[in-house]
Amino acid sequence: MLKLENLGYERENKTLFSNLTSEIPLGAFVNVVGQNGAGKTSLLKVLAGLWQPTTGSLVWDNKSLPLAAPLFWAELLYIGHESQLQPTLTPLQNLKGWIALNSLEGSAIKDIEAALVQVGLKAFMHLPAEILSRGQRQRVLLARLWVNPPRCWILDEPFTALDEAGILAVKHRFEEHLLQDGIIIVATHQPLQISAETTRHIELHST
Amino acid sequence: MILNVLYSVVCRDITLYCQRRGEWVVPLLFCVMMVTLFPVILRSDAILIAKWGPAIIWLAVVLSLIWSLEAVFRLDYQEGILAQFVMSPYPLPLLMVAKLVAHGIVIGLPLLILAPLLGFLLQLSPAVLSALGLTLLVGIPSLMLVGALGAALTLGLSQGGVLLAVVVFPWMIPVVLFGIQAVMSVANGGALGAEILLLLAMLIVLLVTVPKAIATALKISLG
Repeated sequence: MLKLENLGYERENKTLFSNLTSEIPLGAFVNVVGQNGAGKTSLLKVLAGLWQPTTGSLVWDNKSLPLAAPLFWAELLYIGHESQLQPTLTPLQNLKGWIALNSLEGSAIKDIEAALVQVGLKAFMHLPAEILSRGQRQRVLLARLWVNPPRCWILDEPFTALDEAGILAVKHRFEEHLLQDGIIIVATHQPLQISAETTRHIELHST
Repeated sequence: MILNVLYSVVCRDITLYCQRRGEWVVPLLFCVMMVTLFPVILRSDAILIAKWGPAIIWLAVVLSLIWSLEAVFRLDYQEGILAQFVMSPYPLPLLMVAKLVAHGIVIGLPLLILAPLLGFLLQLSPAVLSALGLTLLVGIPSLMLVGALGAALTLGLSQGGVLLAVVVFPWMIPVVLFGIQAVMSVANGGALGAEILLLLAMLIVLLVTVPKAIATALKISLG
C-alpha cells in the first residue's frame, strides 16, 4: 500500500502541489489529471521516489521513503516521458538492460521477445531503436507491462502517440493488473475510464 | 544475482561503446598525437626525450581519460535511462562501478597498452617502459574514479564538458604527481620507490569512498 502524507512540491519558488494526502490500497487505480504544466510529471516523479518532496512524505508498506526506497523500487515500474531507449541499441537489448536493472528476479529472453511480439514489434525487435516511430518506441516501453511486471505502476502519459488498438490493449492490460491486486498511477490529459475496485482522481491545476 | 546484473550492465555498456566509436577512438587518437608531436618540439634530442618522455606519456593519458570520461554518464542521461539506474533496487554505487569497468575495458585498457608502445616509439629503456605500465595500471583506475565523480557532478549542466576538466584536474594532481614522479625516478636510473605504494593506497581509498559519492551526485543531478 502506498500512502501520501501531506505531500507537497515546490520548484523555482512555484508550488506545484501541496497537502496531498491519500491512501492507495492494492488494486487501486489512480488517475492524475491536469493541463500541460500543471505538475503531473513532477507529482509522478515524487511518487516514484525520484524527486524528494518539499513537504510531507511517502510511505510504502508502512516504511517511509527515502529510507525504504530500494524496497519500493523493487516493486515499482516507472515509465516517464523521456525516451528511455538507447537509440543505437535494439528494442530487445533496451528492454533486457532495463529489466535486469529493475527486476529482482530478472526475465528470460524469450519472455521479452514474446512481449515485443504482443505489442506488434516482431519485425523490429532486432533493429536499432532510432528507426522506430514515436508510437513504436512507446510500444517498446509498454511491452514492459507484459514481462513479469512489478506490483506498482507509475506511468506518465502512456497513451501518447499510441493508436486506438494500442490504447485498447494497454487499457485491457491495466484491468488485468488491477484484478491481480496491482496499483496503477497514470497521468493523462483526459480523465480515463478503467473498471477498478478503487478509483482515485487527483486533479492538478496550473496556477 | 547481483553479479548477473553487474555483468549485464558491463556487457550493455560495451555494446553501446562499440556503436559509439567516436566516444573513445578520438581520445585515444589524441593521446597518440600528443606524444608523437613531442619529439618534434624537442628537435629529436635523444637525451631530452629520454628524460621527459615518460612524463609526457603520463600527461597524455590523463588528458585523454578526462576527455573520454565526459561520456560515461551523458549517453544514458540524455535518454532518461540514468533514472532506471537510480530507481534500481540494486545498490547504485555498485552499478556505477560496473559502468566504470565497461569504460575501463573500452578506454582504460587500450591506454594501458598504448602507453608502453608510445614509450617504445620514443626509445625509452625497458625498465622505464615497465615502470610506465605498472604506474598506469594503478593510476588509471584512480583517475577514472575521480573523473567519473566530476562527470556525475557536472551532468546536468550544458557546458559540462569544459567544467568537468576544471573541476576534476585539481583532484587528479596527487595521482598525477606521484605517477610521474615514479616513472621519472626510474628514467633517471633509480628504482620504483614508495610512490607506487602511495598510488596503490590512493586507489584503495578512492575505491572505497568515490562510488558512494558518485551515487549521491547522480541523485542530486537527476533531482
